[in-house]
Amino acid sequence: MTPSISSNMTALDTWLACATRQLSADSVAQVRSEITQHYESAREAAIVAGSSTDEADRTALAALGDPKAANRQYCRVLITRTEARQLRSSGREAQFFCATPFRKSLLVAIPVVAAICAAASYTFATITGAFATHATSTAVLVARISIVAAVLTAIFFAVPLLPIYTPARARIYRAAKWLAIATVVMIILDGDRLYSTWLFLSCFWVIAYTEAIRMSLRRKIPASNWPKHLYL
Amino acid sequence: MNFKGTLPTLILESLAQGPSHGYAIAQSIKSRSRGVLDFKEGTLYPALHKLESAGHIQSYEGSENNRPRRYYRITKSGRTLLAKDRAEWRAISQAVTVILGEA
Repeated sequence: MTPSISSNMTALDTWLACATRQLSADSVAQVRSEITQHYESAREAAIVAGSSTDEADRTALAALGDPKAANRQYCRVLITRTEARQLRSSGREAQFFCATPFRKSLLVAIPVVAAICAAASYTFATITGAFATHATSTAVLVARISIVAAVLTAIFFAVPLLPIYTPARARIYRAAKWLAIATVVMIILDGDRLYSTWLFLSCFWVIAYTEAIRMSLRRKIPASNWPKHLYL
Repeated sequence: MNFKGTLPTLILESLAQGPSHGYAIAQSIKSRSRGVLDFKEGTLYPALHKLESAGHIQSYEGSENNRPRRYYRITKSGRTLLAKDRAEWRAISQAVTVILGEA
């Protein structure tokens, strides 16, 4: 290999390193392959047109343009490291819970138990008159926490059993999910919105962040290739 | 010349002529516009990936001069989009020409 080719391969590597920043390993491999193919074709065409090898290398690299601009566009269309990590971890969770029929039935049992607990607590509070005298009695508190647990676990745990495998059904599920989350927030805050804002911000930013990554993945991956958890 | 936003349409038009790889698509756009539409070729592939994930084009592995290449071909939805984009472009082009007083 001549020194000029070596130095320009280094220049191409530098270009690729900048253009593939933040992308997942698979995306980096894809970009490296297509840009290297493109670069070699451009270089050969320049040599055929009469350029020296040095000029051909420079022309081929200059034609690729600004690697930062390319990186911004690649990050919009290819999977990034953060998104790849989320895809893997969500896949592992789904595999774990759906691995055996027992675990699957456990997922359904948790919201059912929480709902029964909530009903029992409210019944107890009503019978003992706690609603009228002590609004913050233990029974009411347990009932409220149980309802929140039932709603949240029903949304997130019963999903493997639901027939959600089309984008339209997924949209309906997500609308129901956010409605339920909003309801849960209202139950937790109990009208005292300003006082409990810290609770909302500290608990629900994780859900919002995860949802933002999923939205990005849904845009990048064709619906026919979505894993189950992207529908949710 | 800045032709931001029209690159996907130009790619579809190029692929409507037949399957091709990235470098050939870039050269086709430049040569058919007689060099007027010059763009940085590093931005061609993100546009190709976007069209592919939207289902307007498909990619497959091929080879040229015994070298592996990723080829792209237009799909039915790509042809539909191209026809729509072409009609829109004609309408815009005619309207601008009328406003500029060159009709």
